[in-house]
Amino acid sequence: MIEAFLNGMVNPFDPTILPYFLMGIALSLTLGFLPGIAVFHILAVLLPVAVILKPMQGLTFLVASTSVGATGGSIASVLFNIPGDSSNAATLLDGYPMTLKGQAGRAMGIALAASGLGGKISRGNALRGLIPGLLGILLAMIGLDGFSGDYRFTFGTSYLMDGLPLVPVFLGIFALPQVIDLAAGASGAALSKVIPNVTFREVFAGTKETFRHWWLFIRSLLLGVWFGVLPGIGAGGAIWVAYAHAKQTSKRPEEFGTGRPEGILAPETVNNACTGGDLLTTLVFGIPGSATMAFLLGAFLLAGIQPGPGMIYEHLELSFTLLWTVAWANVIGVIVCLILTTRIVRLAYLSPKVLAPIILALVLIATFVGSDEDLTAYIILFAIAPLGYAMMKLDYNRASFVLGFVLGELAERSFQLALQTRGPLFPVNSPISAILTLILLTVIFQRQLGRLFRALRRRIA
Amino acid sequence: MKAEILFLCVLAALGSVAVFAASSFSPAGRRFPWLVTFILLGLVLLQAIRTARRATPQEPRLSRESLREFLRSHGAIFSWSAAGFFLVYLFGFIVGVFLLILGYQVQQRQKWPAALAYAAGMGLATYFGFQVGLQMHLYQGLVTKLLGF
Repeated sequence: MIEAFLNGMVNPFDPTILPYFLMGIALSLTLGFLPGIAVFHILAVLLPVAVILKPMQGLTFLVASTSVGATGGSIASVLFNIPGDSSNAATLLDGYPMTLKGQAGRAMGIALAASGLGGKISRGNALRGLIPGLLGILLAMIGLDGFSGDYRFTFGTSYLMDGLPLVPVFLGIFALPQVIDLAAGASGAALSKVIPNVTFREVFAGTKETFRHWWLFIRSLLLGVWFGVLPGIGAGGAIWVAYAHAKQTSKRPEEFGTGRPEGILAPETVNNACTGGDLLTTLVFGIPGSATMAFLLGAFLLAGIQPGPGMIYEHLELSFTLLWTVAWANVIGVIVCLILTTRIVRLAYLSPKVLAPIILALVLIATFVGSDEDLTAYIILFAIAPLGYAMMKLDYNRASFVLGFVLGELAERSFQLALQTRGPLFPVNSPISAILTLILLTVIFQRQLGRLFRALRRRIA
Repeated sequence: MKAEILFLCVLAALGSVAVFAASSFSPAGRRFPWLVTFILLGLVLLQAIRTARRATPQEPRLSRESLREFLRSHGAIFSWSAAGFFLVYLFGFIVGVFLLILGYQVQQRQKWPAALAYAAGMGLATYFGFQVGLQMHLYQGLVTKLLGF
């Protein structure tokens, strides 16, 4: 155990792994700087690497990319008022006002230091999350059903007998719609021609600010780890809790939203601290806590590794290596950012005309590599892309789709097993399952239940 | 509102096809697909009702011009995506990516030297990054193969 822990600590610096580890950090930081490019998009394009490299190399590469994606994204939040990722959404509340005050460098310094040291609640209604999730499960059913032996939804096509390949589906849902959006000018990096003057001194002053608020930092760190371990919440939800906590405990809560350093520090600490906890849940239970981890789960499956309790026995060293990768990648990512921010910031002003075809080319390459060099995978990519684009534009949760698609098989297997062992009333015929069903229904219908309770209370009063 | 209703109709159609197709499976095989699809259809209906109820009569109508602009810009990038695939299919990744980026830049009225530089840079990055660095086997292309390269 201790040996695996120590090996895990140094493995990212092994000469056979180090280039991929550094490449993951570099690529993710570079792409993460672009506004509107989230960690999902980066992972979707990089996912095929898990197929061609050895598991240790490929997974270290992907985990390093995941870890620093939010760090790069914080810059876009501060500069453009557009979160690089949903986990940077809270940063813009105080980050952008600081940019408007001419303190962009300081704001970036706080964000970077908090990100490095540290490690959305979904808008709209629950239906916008549930519908894509069920659609993902439905699409995951295509192919041979291991339980009944039926070929399902293949419509006589031999290509679909093995099911839909993971990589073109992910790219079609996330990456290609983003290219279309960039190229069509709906979003894009070139939002302003005025590049703020960011000096190293300002950035350094921002990092010092993080140490001045060390107690808030520690509380945010603990919040991040806790939310990361809880399945299903992820950094997107945790940042808002951290932001609210920072506001509640501040001596000047009324100044939040106008450029308070704590408003950047708390969410940026949480979003990076979440990654470690989130990864731990994914590795040990095989249940991804967020869409980013669902992507990683997909990468594990592509590499022939099944995350779950067996990871501790079969791949202990790999598990520790990946957890250490998160820690090291954050430290290295922030050092790189601190040194190069004043220069890299110009990347964020690249025109969509330049970016769109480059990402499109990467998507085409990733589709080919990630689907066993099969050109027919492009049919899946182009067929899925309009669906992904519609979901993106109509604010349906594409992360839920990924969760549904990756976990669909597991969900069906568990359903069939429960049905066989406990009968058709399995959701309610034992105390544990009844409690879990109740919790699930409460979560799904929380808004309606809240309304009902309020109405009841009014009537009683 | 109309776009969302249209999207939900597409989902409902997909769900209906799934229900119909699943009826030919064995009883054990159709259980889970039916369960998922019926819930999906129910939620789609619920969301459609919500969307329709939320819609206000004063909702601004999309002008013909903006619709045309939307179709033009989105159609263009969809066409470029398809063109990218065909260029890769014909000339392989390295040349295909070069041609895709060059064509796109020229169409976007970038200056020729800049367009050439971007395209060449990306072509070289594809070669050195993927083929040499990551040792990926990249597709060579139909024309390249026929020419015997």
